[in-house]
Amino acid sequence: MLTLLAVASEDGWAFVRTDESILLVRPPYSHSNCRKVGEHAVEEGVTRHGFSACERDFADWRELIRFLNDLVRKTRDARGEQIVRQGLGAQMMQFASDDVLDKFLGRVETELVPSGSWEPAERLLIDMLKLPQVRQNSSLLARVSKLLGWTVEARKDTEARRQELIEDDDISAQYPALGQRYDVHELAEYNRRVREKASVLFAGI
Amino acid sequence: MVCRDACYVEAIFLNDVELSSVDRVRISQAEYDRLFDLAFSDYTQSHDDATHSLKADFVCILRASHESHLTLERI
Repeated sequence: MLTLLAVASEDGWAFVRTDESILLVRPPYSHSNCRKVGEHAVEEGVTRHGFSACERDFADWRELIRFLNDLVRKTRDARGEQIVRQGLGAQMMQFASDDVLDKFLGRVETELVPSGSWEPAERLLIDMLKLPQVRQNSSLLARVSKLLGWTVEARKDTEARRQELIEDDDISAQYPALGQRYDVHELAEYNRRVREKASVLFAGI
Repeated sequence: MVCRDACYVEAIFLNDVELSSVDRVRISQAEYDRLFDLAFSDYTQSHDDATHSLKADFVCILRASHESHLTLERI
């Protein structure tokens, strides 16, 4: 059982009593973003920092976080503010310093590329290429261009390999007897060579 | 720009509380990193509305600082 003790409706910060302690939670809502606080912090939050006191129970975190998100949305709506859900990362990058952009490139290299997250990597790198601070910094520009090249090539390579898998599977599905008698990968290779040479009489070449 | 004790931004007013009087905007390095991490994760994961609002607020602060030629000082 969780009890919401006080909340700041405009930004979704909240004091929450759990079975063990009182936590200050704030977006993005995650375990690592919760801070353990004392009773006095709740009182200070209400008297000094614009939190509204309340006493409301929630069965679990999912229910509580849904409530907090709804509250932020309703509060912003009431102020005539539409919640923007797209393109904020790119907007933030417009004001990012070189060291932040450098860190992002490191994360593309060490997190996105190894995990095959080509699509987000490409979008991020393309947005970076548009930034004046990147275009004016030859070392950043070179790094972004190089990484983008790698990413595009790696994505194409992955897509081509997946296409081969589909083609291999197609042969054994379409011709089960052939699939039982021959290796499907060899058949697929033969198929490709027929297609390339535009002739079935290339054997031995 | 709204600044409170608990906010991640501290504004140093030299004289009158007007934008023209603001010398610089300070933000803790940890908070700056935390907020810019959201810019990165904007490309890699979906965010909820409270997080979108947080990012939008930070964009407003960054834009206002930039347009007013204020130094964003990380401490």
